[in-house]
Amino acid sequence: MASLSGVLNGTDVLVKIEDSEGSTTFSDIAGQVSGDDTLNTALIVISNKASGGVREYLEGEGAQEFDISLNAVFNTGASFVRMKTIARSKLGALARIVFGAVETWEGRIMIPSFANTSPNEDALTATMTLQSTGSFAWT
Amino acid sequence: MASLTGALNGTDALLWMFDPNAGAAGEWSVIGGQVTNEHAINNALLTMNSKSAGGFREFVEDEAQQSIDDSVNIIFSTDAAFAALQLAAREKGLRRFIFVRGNMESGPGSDVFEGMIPTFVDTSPNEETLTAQITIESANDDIIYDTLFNDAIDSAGDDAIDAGGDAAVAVA
Repeated sequence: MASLSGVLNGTDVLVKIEDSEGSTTFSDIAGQVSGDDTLNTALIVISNKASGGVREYLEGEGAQEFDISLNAVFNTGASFVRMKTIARSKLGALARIVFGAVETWEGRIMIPSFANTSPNEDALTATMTLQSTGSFAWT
Repeated sequence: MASLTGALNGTDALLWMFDPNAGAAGEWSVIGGQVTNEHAINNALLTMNSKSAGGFREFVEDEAQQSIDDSVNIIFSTDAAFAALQLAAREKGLRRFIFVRGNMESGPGSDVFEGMIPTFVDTSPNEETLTAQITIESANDDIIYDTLFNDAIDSAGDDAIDAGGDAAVAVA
């Protein structure tokens, strides 16, 4: 993993989605405004009478999951169609998060939530939740 | 599905409702006075974590209970709209809705669904506009996504918009 040489501009963190199942080409989800990505690990508690009164976890173990929350102003039809199709189909797709020139996360995701928010006289925005299914890795 | 040509003004996304009690045999109309609308497709994903998952979460693909949930903030500009929605909420009624993004005939596609109203809230501040917050939840499997219409529905017709309806054109 490359080292951080300084503070990253959030603009340089982009979520990409595979163009179609098995295509191996990725495109930016168009019109990204902001996003959160979270790595969760369900730590395994092994506290016992020999723990000396403190909590203990089993190191190196625990189911991991990666969740992405994304706000976007879809400024291309193709990107809107792709993301809504994944949500409607209940199928998965390969996704990447590019953290500038530092590293890239890649994994298969499913979409439990795809929402459009349409305020009066303001841009229509989409809020999507992408959740990992199966393994993922950073390169 | 028709393509977006650019980012949409939220004003151009509107929720319609079919009121079975209006007119001779019911009418479609835009729910008047919408301020903000959130229209969400939700999938209750099925977790299948197992010892074979290699320490990662896994979902069952192509399986989930799917629903549409709408949350609307409204300044009721007509009594009719208020009455129709409140009646649907009070009588626990099922109503047909269309969420229209842009133009109903040529826009990015509209979602047609049947829903019920679990929550209808009036907020009445002193010396400010009375607003309502309404949640609508889809109630059966009759969700038709990305539909375009032969012509924009109006109060005079297009009552039977469904998979075989004469006004709806399913977009591939």
